[in-house]
Amino acid sequence: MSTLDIRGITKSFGTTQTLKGIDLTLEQGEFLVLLGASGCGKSTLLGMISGLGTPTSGDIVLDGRSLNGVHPKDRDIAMVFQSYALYPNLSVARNIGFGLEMRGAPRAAREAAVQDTARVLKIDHLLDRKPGDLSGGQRQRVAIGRALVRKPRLFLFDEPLSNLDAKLRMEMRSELKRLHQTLGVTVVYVTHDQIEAMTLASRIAVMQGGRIEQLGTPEDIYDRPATRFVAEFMGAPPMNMLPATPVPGGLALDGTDAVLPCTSAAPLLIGLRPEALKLAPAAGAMAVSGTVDLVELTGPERIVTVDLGARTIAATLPADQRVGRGQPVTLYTDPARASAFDPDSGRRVTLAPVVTG
Amino acid sequence: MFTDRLTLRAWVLMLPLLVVMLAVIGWPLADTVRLSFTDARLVGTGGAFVGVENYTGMLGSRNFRKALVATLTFSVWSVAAELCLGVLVGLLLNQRFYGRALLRALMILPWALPTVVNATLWRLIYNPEYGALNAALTQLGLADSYQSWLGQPGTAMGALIVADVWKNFPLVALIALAALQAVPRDIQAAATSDGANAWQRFRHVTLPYLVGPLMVALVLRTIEAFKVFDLIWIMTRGGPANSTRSLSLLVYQEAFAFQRAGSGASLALVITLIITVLAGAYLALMRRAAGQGG
Ligand SMILES: Nc1ncnc2c1ncn2[C@@H]1O[C@H](COP(=O)(O)OP(=O)(O)OP(=O)(O)O)[C@@H](O)[C@H]1O
Ligand SMILES: [Mg+2]
Repeated sequence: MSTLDIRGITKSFGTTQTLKGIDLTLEQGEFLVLLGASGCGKSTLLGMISGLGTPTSGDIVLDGRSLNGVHPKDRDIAMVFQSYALYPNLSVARNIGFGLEMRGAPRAAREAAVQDTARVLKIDHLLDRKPGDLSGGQRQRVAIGRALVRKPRLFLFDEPLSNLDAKLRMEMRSELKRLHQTLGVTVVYVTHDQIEAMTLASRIAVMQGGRIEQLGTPEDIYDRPATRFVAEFMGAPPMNMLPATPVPGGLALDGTDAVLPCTSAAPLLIGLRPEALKLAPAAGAMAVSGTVDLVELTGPERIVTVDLGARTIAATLPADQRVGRGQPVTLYTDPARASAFDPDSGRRVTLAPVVTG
Repeated sequence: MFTDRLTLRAWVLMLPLLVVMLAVIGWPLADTVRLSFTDARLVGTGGAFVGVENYTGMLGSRNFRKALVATLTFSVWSVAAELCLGVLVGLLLNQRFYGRALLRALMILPWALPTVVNATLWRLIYNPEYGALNAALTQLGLADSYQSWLGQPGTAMGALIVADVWKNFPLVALIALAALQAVPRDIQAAATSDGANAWQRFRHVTLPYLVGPLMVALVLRTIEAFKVFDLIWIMTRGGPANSTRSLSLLVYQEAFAFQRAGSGASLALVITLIITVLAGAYLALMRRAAGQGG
């Protein structure tokens, strides 16, 4: 059973602190996605786990054994790089078997393992080729195969799909998910693509500025973001943020007639997901009115930007709901789906519902 | 023939250069070929046609064979040492350490010096009376008496090789360094995490990136070493007892000291032929490298 325990990891390069104290615990078979904008320290953290970098302070424990000072090759961790990092002069078969070869595995066992892995990844017809003669997607499979064949306790992926085109990325995403489900391996996966994170993860750690903003299931992260940063980072278009002031009976959204029924003594930021806004009125729904400013069709959806006067709000409507620019609209939303944040700290505030008669 | 105007214009623009090159290289070459079949002297007129006598005489002579062996000895040892030392120094300079930039700059110095300066410098170092090498060896207790490094047949060639290596290993080191910097860090990291030790990483990851550039360095350095003249001329003049007389020196002596233009020309052409073969190897390597890249 592999469990990974990351305790208070910090990393400084010179005077700048890149990782500012990371704590994470990972269960056997988990697929943890580290999600964050470029430069937030995702690769640095992965490097600490793989042993290719050393933390400034803190400890990493794998299956009860501290990895402090343990050489990368003795960690039983395999890494897949964004650049694939295949050995250009070696055949696909030797690329995949390289780890076993270096560890002195007997030739027959090695070849059998390479064959098995290649079959799982559907690259067994490419074993004699050089990496230079492969497509991007095939190279990616070889890189994954090289990690897989070693049967490590832990897999690390650093943005493995970011060099692939959109279609291939989706294919490989499903394939990774299937692999994870069939093999039950433990994975830490870095990406800045939120769709990748949502679809693959059993849990997501959203990182910002060397810290973990929130660690939770994809549903948690999306529906109950712990901070304003997470709320605005996830979702396209991002969550609408509307300042609200306390009034008798609830919180009034500034510049609108809408009142969110709840009890709050302080002004808050109210977050509304674009897809929680609808054109059809419903019982108990809260309404905001404005004029349509912009309509963008994405295919299955129509993203409508509505001018509320003081600010704009984005709503994701089904594509068959035709609205035109300049048209007055009223959007309805279920108050229970709203999130609230403290305007100063950015932390999530749990709204106490008012008992209405 | 010139289907597009661009090709035509390119040829027109190149024409003056081609004419000049034909005049300064083509004509002397042709004249050398003519001379090599005559018994012409450097001064005086004409020279009678003697067929391949110059070639057979020269190739069969003891002097030629001795010079060929000396040239090969010099080339093989100095190029081998330059490659080994160059790669080691390149690996060293590819490490991160304090003062690396300064060291990289300093290393170019011996290579940037003219051969004349380098040769004079080493002559001083090897000087039997006041040379630094003798002083260092005796003061360290490694030698009992002063040696005439360039004056003894047993040490002269070695001394020349050391001087040549000193001057030329920086070029190899620079080529190696440039190649090393092209090795992706991710691949090194992947090999480390795959469990490869330092030697295995060098063997399987680094070396493949070095082979191409090093082959080019090898051929270029071999051609250069095969033509060696100035270094030897300044340091030993081919002595002692002609033990360091290279083929180039032999041509010079034959044609200019002994004024035998005919046989000098035939010898020069033989050397040209050998170097052409080496250059052909170089071009083939380049073409193969270009085919592999991309
Ligand atoms: N070796 C290093 N020396 C100095 N600074 C570094 C080093 N490695 C990383 N950094 C810095 O640490 C920060 C985080 O880098 P890191 O590569 O972990 O980001 P990332 O989250 O993986 O970003 P990306 O999504 O672009 O890959 C960056 O500001 C980077 O400049
Ligand atoms: Mg990164």
